[in-house]
Amino acid sequence: MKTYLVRRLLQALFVLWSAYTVCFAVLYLLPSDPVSLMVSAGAEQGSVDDAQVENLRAQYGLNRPVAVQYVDHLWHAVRGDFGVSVQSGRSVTQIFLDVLPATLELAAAAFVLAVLLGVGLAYWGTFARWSWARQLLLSIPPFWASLPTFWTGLMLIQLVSFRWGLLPATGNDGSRSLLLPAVTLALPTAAGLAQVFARSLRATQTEHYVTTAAAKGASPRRIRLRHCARNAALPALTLAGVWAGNLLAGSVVVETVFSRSGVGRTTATAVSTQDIPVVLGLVILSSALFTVVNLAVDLTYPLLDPRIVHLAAEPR
Amino acid sequence: MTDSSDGVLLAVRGLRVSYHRGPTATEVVHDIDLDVRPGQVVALVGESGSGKSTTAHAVIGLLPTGGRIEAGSVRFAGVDLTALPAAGLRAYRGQEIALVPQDPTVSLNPVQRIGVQVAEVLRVHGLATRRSAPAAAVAALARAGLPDPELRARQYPHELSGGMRQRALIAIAFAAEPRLLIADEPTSALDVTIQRRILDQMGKMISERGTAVLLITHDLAVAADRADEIVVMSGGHVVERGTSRQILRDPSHPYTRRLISDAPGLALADVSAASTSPQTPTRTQHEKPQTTHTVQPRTAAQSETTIQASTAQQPDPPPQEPKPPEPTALLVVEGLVKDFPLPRTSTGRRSVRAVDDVSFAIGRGETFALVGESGSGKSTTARLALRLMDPTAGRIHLCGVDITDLRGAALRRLRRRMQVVYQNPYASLDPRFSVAEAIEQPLRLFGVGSRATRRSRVRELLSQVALPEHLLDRRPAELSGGQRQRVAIARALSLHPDLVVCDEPLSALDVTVQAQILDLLASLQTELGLSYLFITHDLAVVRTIADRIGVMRTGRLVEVATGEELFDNPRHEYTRELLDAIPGRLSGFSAR
Repeated sequence: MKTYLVRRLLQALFVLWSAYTVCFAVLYLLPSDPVSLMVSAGAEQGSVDDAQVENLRAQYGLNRPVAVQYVDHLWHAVRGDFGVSVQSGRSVTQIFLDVLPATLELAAAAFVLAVLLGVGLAYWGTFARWSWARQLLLSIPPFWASLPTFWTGLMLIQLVSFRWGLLPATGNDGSRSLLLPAVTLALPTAAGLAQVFARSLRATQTEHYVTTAAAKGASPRRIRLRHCARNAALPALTLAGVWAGNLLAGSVVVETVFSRSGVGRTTATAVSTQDIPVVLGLVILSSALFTVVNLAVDLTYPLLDPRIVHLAAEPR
Repeated sequence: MTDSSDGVLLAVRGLRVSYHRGPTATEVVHDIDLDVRPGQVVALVGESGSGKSTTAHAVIGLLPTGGRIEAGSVRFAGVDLTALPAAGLRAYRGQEIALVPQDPTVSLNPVQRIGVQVAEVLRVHGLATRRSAPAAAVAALARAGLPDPELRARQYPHELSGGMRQRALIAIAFAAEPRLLIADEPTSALDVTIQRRILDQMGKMISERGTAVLLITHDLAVAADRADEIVVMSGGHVVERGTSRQILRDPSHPYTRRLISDAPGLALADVSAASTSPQTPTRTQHEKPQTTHTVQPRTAAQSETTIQASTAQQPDPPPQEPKPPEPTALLVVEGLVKDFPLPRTSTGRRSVRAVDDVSFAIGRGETFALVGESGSGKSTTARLALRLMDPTAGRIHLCGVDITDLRGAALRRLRRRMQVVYQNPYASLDPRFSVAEAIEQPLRLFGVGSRATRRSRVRELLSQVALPEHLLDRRPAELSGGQRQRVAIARALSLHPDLVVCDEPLSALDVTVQAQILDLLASLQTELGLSYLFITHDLAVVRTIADRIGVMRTGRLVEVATGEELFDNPRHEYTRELLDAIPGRLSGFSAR
């Protein structure tokens, strides 16, 4: 168990490092730099001469060789210092902590919705008494999965907020403004969950242990819940880490469409202004979040499937 | 016939079952009558597809999807179960009629503790409370003969061996003290020794409680040992029924006669009773050496033989080996050892010795059988000999050449000379390959011949294994188990190997098909001068085919002898145990 944890932590560090490196490389390949963007943004107030631009570059350390900047940023990041925003001058950690609660709220709400929708659809789509109902329910997930998130968001705003005036279209105030973005974010995840869960539920029905349970005289409901659902949950849980990543990634689009403040929208803004310290910091912190979720999932897995620890320990 | 009046517990009358798939329905059980009296063991015998399992499942309403009872009645203690609503039938399942399923490895829920699964049957029928259920489950496990029942109750299925899992399933079946037990091939997935212990345990519990049993089996020898009455099914019909003694001594239907002649255990009982039955294939030992000497040694790989041959001839036979390896020996293994590492613990590295100082030799055209239960190291020994695995110690010689350290291209060339036929024909053929592609693949991989010559070789191989040519384009899913195993044999023969390793090639097959495959292997051997290394847990199977038999236990070769010596005069205690476990011996029907 201890060696397993150590191995997983090393893996997590590797993931963080690669995310950082890829992100750094991509940002430096972009054909522009933050200082000129900053200068052109402030150009109306007066002209800026080349000497001042050079000064700013030196101030942010942008005039050093790329390799030096990379190592320098990495070294600071390792010590938990992600630098300050080129645009606002605020500390990146502070920016992240400011917007994190809103995104966590959104992701958590979307996650709960996705699980309820996905599990419900799969369960009733597999076990409903009438075959037309099963077919109808199981045709929903592929449809959801094919909807682009921004389109769903815009349609919900158009109908629910503008035409019917039921819920606010934008903003961060309370549960009323949370519902539409959460639904938008939840749909693709719910669709994936429903498809995987329905598939494994169907597979468990022909398992021999289901026959054994039926031969004990167990009711269909008992068989479904205690024998089918529990075993079918395992493949779905394996993908939970991927879905956590989906929710984080989806928040970029959803927060932008609904003009909510959050990690996603802050990242989008920082990319468009090439605010390198902010983008790098957010990428690392988001990957850290993603890695922690994945590790948590993997650590809970043996609780649900007793075979896992055993298999990991077997010689190969 | 009247029912329920004359003390019949289960009376099946005019049962017809069909499987519906879309608009088409196929009737698989035609008009079956069946009676089981209290305390009676009735065996339903037939090969796969005979409808015996379908009949059994129809009795408790557990037909798979699409299965439907079309006509007839299933009266249990006077109540027609087919007329009951689902909830009414559930009250019978587990409590009045219990099922011991076929394959213990997949019949327990992998994510639930054993104790919970045993307790479930009591909880469902309100026979135990949440509090009393765990203790009741432990008691049920103890009654089923499971050692350390408290520990087992807390374990998960994957932590138990196949035999222990079957005992857990027996504990589930007996927990609610049912009046009728349906045992669906309860031991065909287990080793013969375990099979015997499990059947003994069931027999004991049945006689203590007076439970009636409907035993489903493809093995007439098992039925002969355990049943009072035998009902023989074929093609969905009952072809013959009677007391076990009647059926075995005086079978009237040709199908029953074939089942009797094909059951290896019964054939043995026949031989040991010195009967002159013409059905028993008798192969003399004298034919073998002739083939041995007529087969010319291969020309390839002879350059290195001179140095190594002396090592192979060294007069240093291991203690178990009755005769020193002949100079013409094809395969010689000496002092093979294989250790597997175990997960590291606080006490440091540990390992388990799967193969412990095993030595034997296989002559040209000879069949050497390794017999033992699962975990005895017989399959590992075969994998070492094939060089699919590296031994911890010991040497392996093929045609006098030391092949222990071969690597790369030389090892790849070696693969041509040793081929394998695996246990499970359902898993060892790629489902997307046609029969022709499967057989041709080794030829393609080694770049043998042109496309046209490979095709003609495939046809030749197909006729050698007695398969019709129209099967060439079929996929494995369209073939029967016996046909698949023939394809696997054809594939193994495609490169003209010297040695074919048969790793439990029969254990997934019905007795009748087993007999056919054994005949095929024997005729191929005389035709092609093959040597076989035959791995099996069932001594009865190798009696007719093996020239010499090695008995393995916990990694050691405890006894090596010719088939006759071993059966007539077993020297090791464990060999005697294996011999006693052969089904059909208890009945000793030919002596009756």
